[in-house]
Amino acid sequence: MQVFLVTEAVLQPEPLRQLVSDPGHGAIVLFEGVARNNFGGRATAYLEYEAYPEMAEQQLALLGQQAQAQFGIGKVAIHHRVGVLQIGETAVLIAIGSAHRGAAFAAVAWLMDQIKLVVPIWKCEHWADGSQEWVGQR
Amino acid sequence: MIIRIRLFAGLREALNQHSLSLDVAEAATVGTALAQLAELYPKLPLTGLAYAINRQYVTLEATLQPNDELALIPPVSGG
Repeated sequence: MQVFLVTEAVLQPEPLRQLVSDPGHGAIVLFEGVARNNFGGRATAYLEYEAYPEMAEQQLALLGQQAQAQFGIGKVAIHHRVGVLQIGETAVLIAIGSAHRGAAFAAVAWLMDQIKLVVPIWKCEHWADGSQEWVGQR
Repeated sequence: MIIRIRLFAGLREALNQHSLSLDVAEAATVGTALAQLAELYPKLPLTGLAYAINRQYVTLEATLQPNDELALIPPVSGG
């Protein structure tokens, strides 16, 4: 299983959990970013994600290395889904293995912020009224 | 020299294509390539972008080489 992956397949937490598990770790943090039914209160029918997949995987790997250096965590794995996602489906999955939980919690929050800044992936909101919009957060 | 341009999200939709080839001058920069694109495709929304050459973020001043892949990166919104 690829450690940093952009895929159209449904994301599965268990393979990522195995990727980051280690006998020296006292903590595994799994974060799932999930397709929500509204954006700023406006009703969403479904989401669509598009990526520059080669660069996105490279950027995810770079962020993983930076998180290890900055927070002293053990292992990191990140998978991001693209294509059409129904409400409630997982868009991004981050797994962190760490000796202690504090570093892992801090690192997962930092990683999500960074993903939304530098990883070339785009979200299209397909609104309940039938219109659509690419959402830019920078 | 020929470079390849990658388009995503709104930019891809505006031209209804994922990529295109562009003939630019030797030692052209990202900025000059963009100026050419703006002339060729006046409807292309070229503001607020980031740029990558061969998958590395660069600035408008970066110099292009033959066969480079220049990606136009609209504000990202993953996660």
